[in-house]
Amino acid sequence: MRSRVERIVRTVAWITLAGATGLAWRSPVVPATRAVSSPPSVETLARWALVPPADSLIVTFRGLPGDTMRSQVAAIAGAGIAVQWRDDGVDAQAGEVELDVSTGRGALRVAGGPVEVSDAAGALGVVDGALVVPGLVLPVRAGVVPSAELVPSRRALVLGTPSWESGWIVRGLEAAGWSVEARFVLAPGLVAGPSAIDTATFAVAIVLDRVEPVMARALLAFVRSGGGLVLGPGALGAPVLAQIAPGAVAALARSAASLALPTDRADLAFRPVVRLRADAVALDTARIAARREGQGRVVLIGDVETWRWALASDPGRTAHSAFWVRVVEAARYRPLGDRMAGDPAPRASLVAAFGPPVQAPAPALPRWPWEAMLFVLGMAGLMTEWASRRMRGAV
Amino acid sequence: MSFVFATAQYESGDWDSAPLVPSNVLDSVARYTQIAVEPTGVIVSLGSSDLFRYPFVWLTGHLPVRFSPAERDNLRAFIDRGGFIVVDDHNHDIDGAFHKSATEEITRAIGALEALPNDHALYRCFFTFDGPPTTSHELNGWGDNLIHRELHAVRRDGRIGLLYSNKDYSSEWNYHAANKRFLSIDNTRFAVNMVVYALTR
Repeated sequence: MRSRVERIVRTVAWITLAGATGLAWRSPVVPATRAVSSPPSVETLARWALVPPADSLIVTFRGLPGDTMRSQVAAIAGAGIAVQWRDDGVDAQAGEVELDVSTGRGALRVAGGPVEVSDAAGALGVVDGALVVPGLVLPVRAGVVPSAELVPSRRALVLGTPSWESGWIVRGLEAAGWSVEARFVLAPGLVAGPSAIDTATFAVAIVLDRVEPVMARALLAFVRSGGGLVLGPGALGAPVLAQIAPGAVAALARSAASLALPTDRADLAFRPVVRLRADAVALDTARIAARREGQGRVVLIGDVETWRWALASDPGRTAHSAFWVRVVEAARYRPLGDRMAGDPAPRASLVAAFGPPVQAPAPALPRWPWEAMLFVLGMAGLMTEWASRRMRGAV
Repeated sequence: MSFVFATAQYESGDWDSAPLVPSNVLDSVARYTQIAVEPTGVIVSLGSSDLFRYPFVWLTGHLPVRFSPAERDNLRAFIDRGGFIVVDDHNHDIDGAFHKSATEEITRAIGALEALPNDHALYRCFFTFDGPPTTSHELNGWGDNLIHRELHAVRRDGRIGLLYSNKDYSSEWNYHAANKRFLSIDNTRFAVNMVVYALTR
């Protein structure tokens, strides 16, 4: 009788242990989800653009995200990562503007907490409730734009074939504190450097030579989304880039001074910028012109072989660096914190871009450790059975 | 804006001891890369301001080297402003006249040479090497009969400004480019790395 009970206990114990093993094996796999702490910073999202991606990203917005933030999140979404957003105060701070065009008077109605009202000259004040404002009140922005958004990005990408010009541009910008990467076409089919470009990573791209059509289209998207684009004369060989350039370039103009070592930029040879487009602006007579394309700027520079200036003398090296800093500063992506404020329906834009907000997950109930319990019970059963056998003298 | 190979002419020594190196290197750069090159090299005086027209300079010789003050000043300014110069010991002899005098002059002009790690970007920027490629001349009974394991360099802002070699690439690459077809592996591939490094760093 006793040995029969022992057999039953042993069998039940082994079944229990098998069940515990099965439960442990079937533990749910948590999908790779990273939540960016709120409010997300530009630096956080920029890092996100560089680290190996997870499957999904949840961003919590406290107030209306600025244009930079939206662009960065959109770039991450465009890279194939599922992006969701949580609404943590967007509604409460959204304002509604009604403007009577005939009288120039507008009324601002605030749905929730106070919002800051400003115009191009700066802040007008903080309002709560409804306020009639004479004239145009746009832009209205919720809260204060995070200071991180106002920090200009100083990352540049230089594209072309390896040349002294590209090398000295990289060194000149780096000497001025810029972070510069280069993408060189070394040989047919052999390209060294970044293969993608977006405004989350780079503020400006400098194209010195003809680039392949795929990269030209990427640069077009880059500048239209707010990136800065500097084109050297050689870059106009790409039809896509030639179409958005502020103008064209004429034949090389080489002065007598350009045959000697240059002591000044005026001594350098250049290709005059001609046939300016109607919306282009000449920044430097005959040598540099710029125009806006989408949200970004395109600068065409006619100077060639500016590296000669840097190699010729120590003052030339300093001046060369300063010159290129001015060129990229004229073009680079400038995050504008008030761009989204001009959006008449910012919440709708967010929903259109990233879908409706997701709810914050309910706190998960503590899970009962069934596998541990079954394991303990199984082991206890085996020990009891073993002790029973030993006490009656069986093996 | 083509790449120009410049050979340095200095007042002492035999600066023109490897006249076929420029055309051979230019042939390789044109053969393997998309870099535009001038078909012939130029000779530039180390002591003249013309040095600052050519950012890539090759300097070699067998005999003792003594730089004039103008040559020394130019070399210092050239390196500081971003130029790239290769100095190759045509004797491949660390106890030879060129090596001793050239390293002294380099140290006096721009600072001491330091060993270049064999995993440096120079060895990976186009072709991949596990260090400086050995030349067929290193064990030819002349020179020091050593396999020189590493190159040396003087750097500016982390970038090589002067590259110093005891490998005797001046002998190794001093042949007509058309004769490359007799080689199973082109021995001038490392020269392409030098040019690509100079242009991209």
